[in-house]
Amino acid sequence: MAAVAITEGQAGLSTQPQDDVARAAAGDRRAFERLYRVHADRIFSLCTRMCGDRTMAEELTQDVFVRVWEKLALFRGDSAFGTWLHRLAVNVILNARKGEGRRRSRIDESVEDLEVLPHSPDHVGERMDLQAAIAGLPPGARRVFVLHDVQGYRHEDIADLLGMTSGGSKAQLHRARMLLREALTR
Amino acid sequence: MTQRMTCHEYDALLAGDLEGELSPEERRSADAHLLECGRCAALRAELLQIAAAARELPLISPSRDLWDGIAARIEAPVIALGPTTERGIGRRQRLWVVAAAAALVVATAGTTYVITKATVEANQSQVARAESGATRRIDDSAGTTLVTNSQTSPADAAFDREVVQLRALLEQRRPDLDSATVALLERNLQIIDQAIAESRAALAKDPGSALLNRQLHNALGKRVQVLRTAALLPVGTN
Repeated sequence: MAAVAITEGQAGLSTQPQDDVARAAAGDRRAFERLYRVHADRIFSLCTRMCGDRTMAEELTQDVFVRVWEKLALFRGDSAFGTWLHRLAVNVILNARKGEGRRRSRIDESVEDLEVLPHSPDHVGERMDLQAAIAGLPPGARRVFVLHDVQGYRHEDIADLLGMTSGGSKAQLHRARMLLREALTR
Repeated sequence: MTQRMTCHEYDALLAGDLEGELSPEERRSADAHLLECGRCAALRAELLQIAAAARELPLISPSRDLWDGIAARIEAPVIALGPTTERGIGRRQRLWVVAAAAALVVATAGTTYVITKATVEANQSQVARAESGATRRIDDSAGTTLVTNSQTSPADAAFDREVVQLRALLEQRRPDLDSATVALLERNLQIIDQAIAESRAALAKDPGSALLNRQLHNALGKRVQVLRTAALLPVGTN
């Protein structure tokens, strides 16, 4: 079936989002497209900030919505759809990261533990914006920073998601903030 | 008498301060220090500012409409085969391919291990056999061509055979794999292939070099290792 083009203005207005969730769960792809258009930027932003790469984020965003389509029938409505979607997206991103990490660890040398500073701006005197500085963080620090400071996750939840201790999450967060400060004030 | 906190001591408490985790006593000492230390006060303020700015970051939009790609994946044609579902078929097919790949990797890896181990043990001070510049070509079904020295050792030949099989397997699985990951693997393989070519060229000039032999052997092993990893990659990013 060909995709049905719906403008952003139309998305979410023709039907209520909750209706679209129910319809999409029943197999209505137009309703699912409307859900996609409502939530795409939020999920893409999350993917971009978590992985630090826009091209990879586009692929991850697609992976997230394909996974949502597959899992939508399991959504019970105990939480808001947006919350459920966000949680699922984080899991997709982190699982992709784990798979990629396993591959990279056997292929490339890991850069995870290198004490690197975010890449400096191209021009001397040009202050780096926060988004660019986040993208330049080491992966571990970036993930914790995005989950905690951008997305508002608690350290306990981050520890569960990332398979680390709460103290480890706090340490990574502090490291991330210090690196960002250095990048932003250079 | 309470001792004044030093900058070093405050640095140790800074993360906890930002998280609001200081004890009342630590809070009092930290506040007293911050009142008189511009450096620590500025550092704390800047870190709080970063955390606050992070909460206000705007949403980012993708550079292109991603829906078509999603639609293509969720609208894959359904092949009606009795009660079996579309997802069930795809999943079983992919699992079969992965299982076949795993079996092949185990078999070829085992053969390579036995041969290379025997070769290395039999000839610890292996001397290169690259006097002649003659080469032989091994063509596989995927169109990959390996160029190896005509006097390749049993170990190298075992590596080469496994590489041919693994490359064929990788080609077979390519449509199911994440394109970015495959691209990364290809880049790594190019680097390793270059190292192999350079090692072989160097060995042609200095066939007796144990170091060059070891480097070549390591590079061959690395290539097989990368290809084994590639052959067993999970489907997509799942």
